[in-house]
Amino acid sequence: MSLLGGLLVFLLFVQGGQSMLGSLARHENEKRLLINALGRKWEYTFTTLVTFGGAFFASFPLFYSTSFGGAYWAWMILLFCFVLQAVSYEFQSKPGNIFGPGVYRVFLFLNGVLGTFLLGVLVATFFTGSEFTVGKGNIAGLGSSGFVISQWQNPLHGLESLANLRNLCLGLAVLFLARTLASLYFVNRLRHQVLEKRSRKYVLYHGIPFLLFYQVFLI
Amino acid sequence: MDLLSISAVNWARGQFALTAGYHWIFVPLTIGLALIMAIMESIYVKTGDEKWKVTTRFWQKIFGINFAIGIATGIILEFQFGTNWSNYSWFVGDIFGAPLAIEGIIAFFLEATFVTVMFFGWNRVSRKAHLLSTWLVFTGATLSAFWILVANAWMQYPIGMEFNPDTVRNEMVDFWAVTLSPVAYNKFLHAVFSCWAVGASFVAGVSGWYLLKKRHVEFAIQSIKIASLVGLVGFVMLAVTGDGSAYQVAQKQPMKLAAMEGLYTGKEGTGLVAFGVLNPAKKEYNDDVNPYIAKVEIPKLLSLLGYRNINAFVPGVKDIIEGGYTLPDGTTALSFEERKVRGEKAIQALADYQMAMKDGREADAADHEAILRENYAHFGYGYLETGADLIPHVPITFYSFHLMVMIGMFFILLFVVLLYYLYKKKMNNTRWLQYVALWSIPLSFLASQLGWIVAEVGRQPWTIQDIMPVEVSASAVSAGNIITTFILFSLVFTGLLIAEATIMVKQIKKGPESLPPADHTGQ
Repeated sequence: MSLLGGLLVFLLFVQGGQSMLGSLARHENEKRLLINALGRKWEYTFTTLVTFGGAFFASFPLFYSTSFGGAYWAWMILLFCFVLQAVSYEFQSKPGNIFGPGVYRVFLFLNGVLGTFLLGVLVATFFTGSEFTVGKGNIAGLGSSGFVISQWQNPLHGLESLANLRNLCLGLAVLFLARTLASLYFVNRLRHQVLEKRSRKYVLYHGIPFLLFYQVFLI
Repeated sequence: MDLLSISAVNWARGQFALTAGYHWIFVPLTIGLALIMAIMESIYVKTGDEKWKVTTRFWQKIFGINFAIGIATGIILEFQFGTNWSNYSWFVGDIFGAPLAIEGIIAFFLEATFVTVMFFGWNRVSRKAHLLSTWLVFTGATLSAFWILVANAWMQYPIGMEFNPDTVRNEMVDFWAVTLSPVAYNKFLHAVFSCWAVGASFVAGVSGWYLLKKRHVEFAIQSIKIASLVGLVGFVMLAVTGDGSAYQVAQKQPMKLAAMEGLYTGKEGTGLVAFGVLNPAKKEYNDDVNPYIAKVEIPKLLSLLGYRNINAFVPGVKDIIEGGYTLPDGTTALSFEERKVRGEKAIQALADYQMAMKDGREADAADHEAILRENYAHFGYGYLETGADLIPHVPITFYSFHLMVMIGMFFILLFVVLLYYLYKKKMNNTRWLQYVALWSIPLSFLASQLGWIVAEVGRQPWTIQDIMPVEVSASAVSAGNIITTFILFSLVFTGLLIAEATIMVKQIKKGPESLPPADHTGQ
């Protein structure tokens, strides 16, 4: 899980790049360049996320059932972001695209920001805690609220984690880390002087907030 | 707010059916097209004929459009076991999660890696390397189907596990029993051949459209030849593997078989209903109302297919609920009431075990554990109320099964006819056949969905056969939350389907590149 988690965070550079489509790229041809560069890599991140989820299910099914079945909305919003991302690279430039490229770029941006931020918030709850009960006897009728073994106690089903500052810190740390990694990727990958120069600056612009938020989370 | 209301469970079921149904529109086309593309590219590499490269690249474009939405609709399924079926995930995740994880590690990474080479590597790698990539994409997609079917098969026939009363979950003790379950490999083969069938009918149908428009005729003939061969093999093997699957269902899920056939009262030498109309006046399983208004039955065939013995007793719905008949292993089938008593004993023993362990009464706990293990095979029955709870929706199961088989037979005939006309070099000018090929496309998708409806509606009320019913499997999430996500999924997936369809239609209208539109050279 640690290996997969590490790989996933590393590969979130795709999401980082998507979150910068509006800021790093100033013109349409620059946007296209960034999208083309990311478009060859997005499936690795997606596959790693899916494998991460599957591995969690297989290795820690009790956690998987408690967290996913409880923090319902937090996970659902995260998953919706990735559902929208999966088609965006393929569909956005195709003839016959009835929604127009703009809509898919918004999807990519949402996936970039929410996909990283919410993942960080959710992971932070492993450290800050969540409100749930586990009653193994529930399935045998020992509980007073039905057969379900793990039950979330907050009606917001995961969204309450956004009210915790430490959770927000890790969320922002992951977002800025993803943007830092994306900037490094663009520096290495792009043969476009202006974008390369801008990306180098962005390494610093995002690297510093990443370190700050991460330090605050750790404290 | 009743977290476990029937409404919440039914909305959770509806949501899974919606998302799985959408996913299964795109996945068969992905696997089927992957095979057809790989065959076409093999011909290109072998012959060096650039026309086969053009043909391959066209279908690869269609594949790419479809592949993305297959991924989009798939991710939610993996996590939905947790979000909406958390009790199920707790109870059986140690077994069920493993094939899902392996699917990700082996199949998805293989696909993701080589699909990039396939799309972007045409001018970057050698022909053989590119061909290998295409075959590996097909392999990855097929492996993905394998592991999912291993997981689903385990729901139908739970094996290779042991229940742990301390963690209150089933734990895998025999990985190979799970992976090599006869239910698993039958279902896998049947599902994969259904993908070949869908891919083939799609390629044949689109090629039929080009022939109707008299566009890219040579390309269309090339494509329809490959599609027809793949399609015929696919549909014939569907019949063969369907027989294998039905045999497994007869052995392991007799109630599902009874529902598939509308069989309420069994007998020795039971016939197969080839065609039938169920009687809506039949309300209770044990009333004397005839289950059929009309039927055409092939004598003794169900006994033969289900038990490899033309005189075997095939239990009906009533027999399974009331028990008392002889099972293939020579023992007597327990009635629902008998199994319910044992199930309740097992559940109570688990409760008693938990209490005893909490109080430190280890000797008592050991006694309770013994009772639990003795009755565990009937655990799920303890949650049900009456024998009627065991019955899946018979009309849905019956009609889905029979319609699926009819469509399968139609396609075997269609592909034989297509191959005949191709052999006689008459395909080019036979407009009625081109229309049939085109308008048959939806039928293959329909048959593909009907198969899953039979499998999953037919297994009700169980999520895990005999061990865990659906009503005990869901998460503690209220109906309101699930209704909201159901609506969101409906909107998003329908929007994406429309988006995919318009892009695909545009690409098809554009046609394969580098071929003049009015190509009449054909055959």
